[in-house]
Amino acid sequence: MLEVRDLSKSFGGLKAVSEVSLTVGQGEFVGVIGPNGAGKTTLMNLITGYMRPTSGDVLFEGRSIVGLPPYRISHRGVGRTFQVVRPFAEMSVEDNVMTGALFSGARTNSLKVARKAAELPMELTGLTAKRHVAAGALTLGEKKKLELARALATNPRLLLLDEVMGGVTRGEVGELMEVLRRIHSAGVTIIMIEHLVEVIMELSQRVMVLNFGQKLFEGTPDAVVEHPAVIESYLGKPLEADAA
Amino acid sequence: MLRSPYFMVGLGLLSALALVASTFWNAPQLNDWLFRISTLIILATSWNLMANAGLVSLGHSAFWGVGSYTAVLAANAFGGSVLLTFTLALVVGGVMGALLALVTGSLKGIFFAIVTLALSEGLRICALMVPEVTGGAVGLFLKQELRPSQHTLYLFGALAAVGSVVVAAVIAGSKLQFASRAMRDNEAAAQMLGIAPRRQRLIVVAISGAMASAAGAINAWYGGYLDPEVAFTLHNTILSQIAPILGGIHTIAGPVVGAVAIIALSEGTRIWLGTMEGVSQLTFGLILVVCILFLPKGLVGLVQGGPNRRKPTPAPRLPLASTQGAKP
Ligand SMILES: Nc1ncnc2c1ncn2[C@@H]1O[C@H](COP(=O)(O)OP(=O)(O)O)[C@@H](O)[C@H]1O
Ligand SMILES: [Mg+2]
Repeated sequence: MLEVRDLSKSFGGLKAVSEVSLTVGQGEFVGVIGPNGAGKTTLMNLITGYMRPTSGDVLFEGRSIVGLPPYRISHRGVGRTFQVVRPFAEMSVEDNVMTGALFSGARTNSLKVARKAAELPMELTGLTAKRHVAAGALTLGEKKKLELARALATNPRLLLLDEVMGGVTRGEVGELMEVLRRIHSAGVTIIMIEHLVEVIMELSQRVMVLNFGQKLFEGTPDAVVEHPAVIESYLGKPLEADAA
Repeated sequence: MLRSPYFMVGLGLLSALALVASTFWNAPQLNDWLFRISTLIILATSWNLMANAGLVSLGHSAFWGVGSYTAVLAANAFGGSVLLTFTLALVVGGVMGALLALVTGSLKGIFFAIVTLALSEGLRICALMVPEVTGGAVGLFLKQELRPSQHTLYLFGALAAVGSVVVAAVIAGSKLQFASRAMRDNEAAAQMLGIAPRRQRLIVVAISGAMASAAGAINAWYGGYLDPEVAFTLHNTILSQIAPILGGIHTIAGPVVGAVAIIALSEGTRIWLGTMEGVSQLTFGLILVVCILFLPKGLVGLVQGGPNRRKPTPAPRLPLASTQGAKP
């Protein structure tokens, strides 16, 4: 479904992403971990057209999407959340979510259809009660959920999540995990960047570890926590302790 | 009651009717004020459309001026009627808006504003430099024999003003409104939701440009005379934004209320303090500044009070147990 080939991105002298390759099959749930500054967000920006790679290629469903603007990539069926939340602050929660349905998901001219299409994403993320609240007035956790709800409204086949649990309370993490499981079992392919390692371990079928822009390791969650290089460079200590 | 949408729509319809009806009444001074209010409503509504999409125009007099010249030149050259030249000005303004959108690409904020300002100043200078077309600084008269009665123009202005507000209302209830607001708040995020910013911007600026140009065209018929200073006066650029800001930016009623308030205020201060030229203008300016400083939501916000929110409707419960609908 998604094939990342030798992707690199340099900022001046800094190689933020360096020769990263990754293949994600239809229906997979792939986790991406790595310390701050490892290049995770940059990788996501490269895939979704916010940045142009210095070299390498990205294929989605067999076709290259490098050079396409983000809205075309969205139309192709890729949804994404932002680590640094970007709500439409003056719009209500409902209008935020409807926008995704209007221009990408349902791709309709009818506000009525879009409003209906916004129901399920709001319900899944627990935002229904806040539908008329201006997005700018939400808590950080709620804004993260709104990111997810908007992305869902675009009806993606591939969903990229960038630290969607950051700022969400402990109790809500469990709820969101349940939501992600549900979305995944409905057939959506998911690539998830997450700081909370235990979340990645529990949800992912496969994990990629990035460090200094390079792929350090790729394998099953079990293999990742046992890999010496990963423990040394990233986890720093056995996972059983507190990985968050 | 004031917040009920039916009340607002009713009030709008009644005002529209009153404005149109007033043109059949022979009261030259009142007619003149209402005509100026009408053209200002169009100009302000046009400015507000761009502002709604996060595009601050400092060059609305460019559209106004081009529309004015379109009307006068077309009328003089081939005897075009008011309706014909009005339509022509709509088209020319729309094309000009589309070009502006293309040229400015993804410029936002102050950069976009500066380009629009340069456009209107540039056009003013161009108009001065081609005296064989525009009459240069000497100016240009619309052929007297072509001019319809003032009352026809009052009516035309009133209908056009109502039309511009209707267009704004239709847009406010459309997909374009969602794209505009999303782009205003965060263009990058808007793209990930499938919004093509340049395309949406082109549509908005073209509609806005067409409106402002048409307002200029009607006004040129009314004035009957043009020179580059009159056509591209900065005054219109300033009024085009003060009216919506004073009335209530990003609202439909705002530009209308603002236009009425500005004409009332400027005429009021002129009549009461007219003997002291400077004092009346100073008072006008002071009141404007105070209003804008203390009414962030404009006069409309004052009436509506509180945050402008829809009434919460009970959320339909969805069968969460079944996830078929999740994301097929
Ligand atoms: N637009 C940019 N310009 C310059 N450097 C950047 C830019 N974006 C990211 N970087 C740098 O690239 C590196 C990787 O950043 P990022 O992808 O955000 O890491 P992560 O998401 O893994 O924490 C960091 O060193 C960061 O400073
Ligand atoms: Mg990051």
